[in-house]
Amino acid sequence: MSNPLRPRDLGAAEALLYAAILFVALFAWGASTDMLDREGLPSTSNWAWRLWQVGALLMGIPGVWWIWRGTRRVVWTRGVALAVLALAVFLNAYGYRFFEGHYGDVWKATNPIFLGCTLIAVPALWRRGSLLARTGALFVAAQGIVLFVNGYFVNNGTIWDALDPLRLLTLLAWASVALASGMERSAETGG
Amino acid sequence: MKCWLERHNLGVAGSLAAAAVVAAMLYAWIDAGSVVSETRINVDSWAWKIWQFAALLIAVPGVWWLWRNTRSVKAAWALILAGFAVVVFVNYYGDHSADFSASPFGENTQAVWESINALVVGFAVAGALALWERGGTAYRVGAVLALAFGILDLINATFLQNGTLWQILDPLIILAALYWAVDEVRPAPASAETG
Repeated sequence: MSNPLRPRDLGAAEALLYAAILFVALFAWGASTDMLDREGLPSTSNWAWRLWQVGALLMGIPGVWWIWRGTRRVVWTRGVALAVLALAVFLNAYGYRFFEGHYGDVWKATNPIFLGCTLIAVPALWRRGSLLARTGALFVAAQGIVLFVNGYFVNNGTIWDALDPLRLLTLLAWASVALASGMERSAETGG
Repeated sequence: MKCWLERHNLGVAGSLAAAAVVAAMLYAWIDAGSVVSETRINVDSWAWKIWQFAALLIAVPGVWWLWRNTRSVKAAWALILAGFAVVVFVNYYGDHSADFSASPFGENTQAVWESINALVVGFAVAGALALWERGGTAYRVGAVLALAFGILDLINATFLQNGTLWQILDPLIILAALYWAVDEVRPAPASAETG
């Protein structure tokens, strides 16, 4: 029996289903945080809450890396997954009560995925070597650090007001890069 | 005319239609359970429990028959599993009220749960059989775990209705269905003969 955790080349349907599994697992983990909530205790100053979120990071970051490694032959699926994630971020940030009752759970699921994508994007951009790419790498890294600190320690509303559109644009930029390189690759292979 | 119980090789449309028939039959049976328990889920009523066990007579053979007859259209089986996962997700996370007033399935939420629970037992049995047939220790351990999962769901659904256990079981049902769907669409490893 093959090791299911071993990175390998996924098919398109497999990749999209694995992305759905990762999102559902993170969403369910985030929704279970309710068990730790104590009245009058803000979540980000509650260490039990923070420790619970570590579980999400331990699932989200390796999960994103595993899917990224497995989608080298179907790069366009990364674009689709990132576009869907951007849509979720947009609807949660700007849709009026779209995810009512699960507003926080959607953020708890999208934050680890975004951080996982950041950890992949920063070295990938840095390795390109050009000044523009390295500036982009620094910007993405800074954005990830601010999101991590605000998401798990500070929870400042004004910072979210700035971060939400920024991360939305970043996700769309990643999605368009993935879709464009996916199209290039299929043109090269005649697909 | 071929007996419907015999092995068929269903096409994609046939598989999806057959799945809809099984789901509708099961839902109709569950919905008629209001005859024995007006309050729907009622673990104190033996009449309700017997009604739920009777539902397994539709769900378990129905799922097993579907799984067996979709072996040549595995993508259809994956689609059925993904659709099931979506229904569980929507029924579990779509409601954020205490009285199901905000539930996407409205007053039918409980009937949908009862149908889902019968189907989980059906999927667990079919999954266990599928894993057992593959042979090998790891697959057989997986088969036992799948069956244990189905039994746990049945016990909680029919006898306990423990909320904490549902908080664990419901996300696991969604993830298990999606993982099985992945397994169905995974390309078969190239053999030495075919290169």
